[in-house]
Amino acid sequence: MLVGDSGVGKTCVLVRYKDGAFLSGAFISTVGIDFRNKVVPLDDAKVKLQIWDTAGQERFRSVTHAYYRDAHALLLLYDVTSKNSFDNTRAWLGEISEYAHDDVVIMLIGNKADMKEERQVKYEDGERLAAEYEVAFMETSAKSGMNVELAFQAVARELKYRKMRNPDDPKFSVTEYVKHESQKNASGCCS
Amino acid sequence: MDDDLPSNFDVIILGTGMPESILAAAAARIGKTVLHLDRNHYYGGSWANFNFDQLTEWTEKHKVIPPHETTTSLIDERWAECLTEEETAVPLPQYPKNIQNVSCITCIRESASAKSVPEEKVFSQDDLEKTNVIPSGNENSENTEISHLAASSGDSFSPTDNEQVAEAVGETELSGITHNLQESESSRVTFLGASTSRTNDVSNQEGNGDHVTREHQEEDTISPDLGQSLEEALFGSNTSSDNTLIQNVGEREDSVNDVLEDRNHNIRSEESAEMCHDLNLEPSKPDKKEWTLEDLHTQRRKFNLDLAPKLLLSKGPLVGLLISSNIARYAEFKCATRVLTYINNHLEQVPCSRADVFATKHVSVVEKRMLMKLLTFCLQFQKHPEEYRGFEGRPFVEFLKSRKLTPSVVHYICYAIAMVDDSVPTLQGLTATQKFLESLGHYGNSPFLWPLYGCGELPQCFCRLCAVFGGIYYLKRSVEGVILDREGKCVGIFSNHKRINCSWLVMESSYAAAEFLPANVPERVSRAIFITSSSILPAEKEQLTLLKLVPDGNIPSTVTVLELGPGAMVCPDGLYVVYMNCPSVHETAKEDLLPAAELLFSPLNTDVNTGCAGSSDVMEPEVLWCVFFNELDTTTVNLNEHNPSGTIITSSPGKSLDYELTVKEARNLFQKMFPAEEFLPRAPDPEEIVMEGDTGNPGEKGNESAENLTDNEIQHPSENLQQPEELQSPNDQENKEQDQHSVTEA
Repeated sequence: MLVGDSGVGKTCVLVRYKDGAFLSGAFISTVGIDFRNKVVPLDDAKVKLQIWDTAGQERFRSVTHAYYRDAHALLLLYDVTSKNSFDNTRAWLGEISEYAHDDVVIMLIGNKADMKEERQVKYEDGERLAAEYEVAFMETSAKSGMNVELAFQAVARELKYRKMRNPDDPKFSVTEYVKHESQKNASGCCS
Repeated sequence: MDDDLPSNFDVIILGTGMPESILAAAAARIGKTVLHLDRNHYYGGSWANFNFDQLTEWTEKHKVIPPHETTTSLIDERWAECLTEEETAVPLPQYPKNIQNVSCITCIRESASAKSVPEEKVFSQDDLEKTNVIPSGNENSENTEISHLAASSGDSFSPTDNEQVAEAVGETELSGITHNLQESESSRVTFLGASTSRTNDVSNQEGNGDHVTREHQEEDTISPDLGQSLEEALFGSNTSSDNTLIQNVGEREDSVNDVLEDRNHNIRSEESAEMCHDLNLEPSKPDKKEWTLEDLHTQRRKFNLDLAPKLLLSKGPLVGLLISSNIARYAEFKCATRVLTYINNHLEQVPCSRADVFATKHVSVVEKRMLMKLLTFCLQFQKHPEEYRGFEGRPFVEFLKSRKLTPSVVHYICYAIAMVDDSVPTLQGLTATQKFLESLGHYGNSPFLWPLYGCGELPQCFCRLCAVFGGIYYLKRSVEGVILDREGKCVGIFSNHKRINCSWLVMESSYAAAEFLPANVPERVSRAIFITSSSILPAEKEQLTLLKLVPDGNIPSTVTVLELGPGAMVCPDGLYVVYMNCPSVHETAKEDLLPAAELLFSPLNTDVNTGCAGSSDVMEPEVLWCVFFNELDTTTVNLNEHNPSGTIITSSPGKSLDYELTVKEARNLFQKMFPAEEFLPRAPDPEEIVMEGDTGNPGEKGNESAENLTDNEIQHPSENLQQPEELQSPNDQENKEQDQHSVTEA
């Protein structure tokens, strides 16, 4: 499930991931996007992600609590060009801890990383907050597509790891995975 | 944030209770712009559900007698500025008085440290060892996930069964039939298949239906087969059949039912032995836990306590609406597993399906025949008016007695199946019986469904749909007044000093100004919520129970009792939640409902410091915590008589057990607002939505964006992948209904 302030790009990230396109202009707030399904092939298995959007209810902090009930994973987004959206992530984390499962996978995402000039939130700030709450962190851009695939891949991997948990398997850490993978990609696409 | 709010809407809705939410969804669905506000910081209003802390907070808030409205002073200059000369403003109440006499009783100690020695329970070591073998209670009831479709094969008293009924009196012939009910009993019901359930399924490549559902299920590592063999080892018989998946099962079923019945029958006398089956406590726990208030707070999030608990009739209008509008994908349901009645000074399970009738030990074979014959008749009583001629206006109970039925059979039908009291006329009683029977067997062994996590989820499902269709949601937002034009028609509201215009204003009755409402709302509902330590009638697996208590010397009016356990996602393991409600007779809900509580529970322990809780040898459930309150019942008056045109007033939850009136109300009001429009047509599945503006995305750099946006092919393998075998084409609504139909006929 995607959460975070209005306008941080939740729907854009979802559409980018699901359909490989970038929505511009026309979509001011979420209309008509309920959830999307996508199957992620992972090694020898397939993980089906059903990705839910907030349907605009986050605008006035009125997301239905039922929305959190069955979430296995939450992507908490903020906009790197909006300090305010970053500050609000704490409030979102509070809501998540109130209504979501205890063991929900949470990933903090700074979106709109392509907008270098307008940036208000440093990568390190996001990283620090994520460390404080012990959640995974990465920056994405729905516009360029940077790390969008990776974010969902990481979540799918974590879910699969939890589901198929096998005592012999090496421990999987979504945080480590993200770090490792984003370093690999860093030189490639976004700098 | 406020300034973001547009100032013109087609519909503004105040309150997020059930009828308001249905109307919100229906209006947004046909393209109207909707602003949906609630004065509270939570969804649902009087229909809300809460975790333990939230309920405590709600209780405290409503204990305080609301101050007098100082409304006139609210019409200040700021309002005047926003009004044209011909407009007037009517202030709305800021302190609703729909909830009264809130009284909360804590029967347990604050925390364990207050007293160090936990009281021993009366289980022998043997019992405890047995308990240890039983996996946690959920395993029994939740292994089966069935679709709308798969579940519909139950014994439903369908007309085609009638021929069989006559000769099928002998119990031995019924083995096959009985199982239809058993198999789907207490299973989780999702109307739509797994592809739209709210879970992310992780399947391996072979797609063996291995899926993640809820937290507690993941903990249940025991497969149905294993569970079965365990139970067989325990009970030495086939009692575990209930949790097998939909498949096999042969002749052994009749004996199973007998075993079950025997056990139920004996419970009152052999409670200490039987209680161990009821333990949903973690198997590792050596002693029965002594709960403290601190524990309840610690586990607060495991509670989902409803202010207005109701059940859905399987064939009732709400289930129909949820399916036809495609809103069912937002919720999951569980079938109520038993209907109890209080007869001859004890609780008894009412045989309501054919399987039950033949399995029960409480009635003789002759009575069984009578009962079956009568139930069969009730199912299509309109075709046989001669059967009840002369009784139409006379009490149903007299009609039943005229059929030479034994007192207990009359009791079952009148009080537990039709759920009517002695004054209700025959025609009404027959209709009620018919409604019950028609809903029977579609999803399980009772006609009722319970929404997992509580009824408070249901309004939110409709709100979600409204939001998906562009409705704007704003909780914790109050409305100070209504703006009327020269003709007295509502044209807008004042909210937070902002004028917002609308064509229609819908408000829940507690939002409406006194002059909009009937002068007198005479009726109230008395409600109570109990958190208890064990079931009112323990059984070897968790039950979802409905019980109607008939008025007698102590009980002033018919009390509806619902008991739910952790499997219904309403409380932590080891506890039960009991809801009671009745039409108010006395001044306070406590006076109305305490007699019923005394009948079912150990006496309330009001002196927590003596540590009585958990210490007595009495086997009745102990109440750990409870709250009583009265609620104005606006379902019994015409709310839309005195209100300004352009406004619609919706009612409170009321005393009815199901949602029939609510859906009817919402549908009628919608037709009044938008006469030519369709009421909640089916919402498309996500894959059916073609994104607008998919051509020429300016932000694109020409990479993979060329892919078709509505690339559906990729979906299909996944759906096959994750469909459990027992699901049949869960996506296709029409197929589903056809299938269901054919199953019933088969």
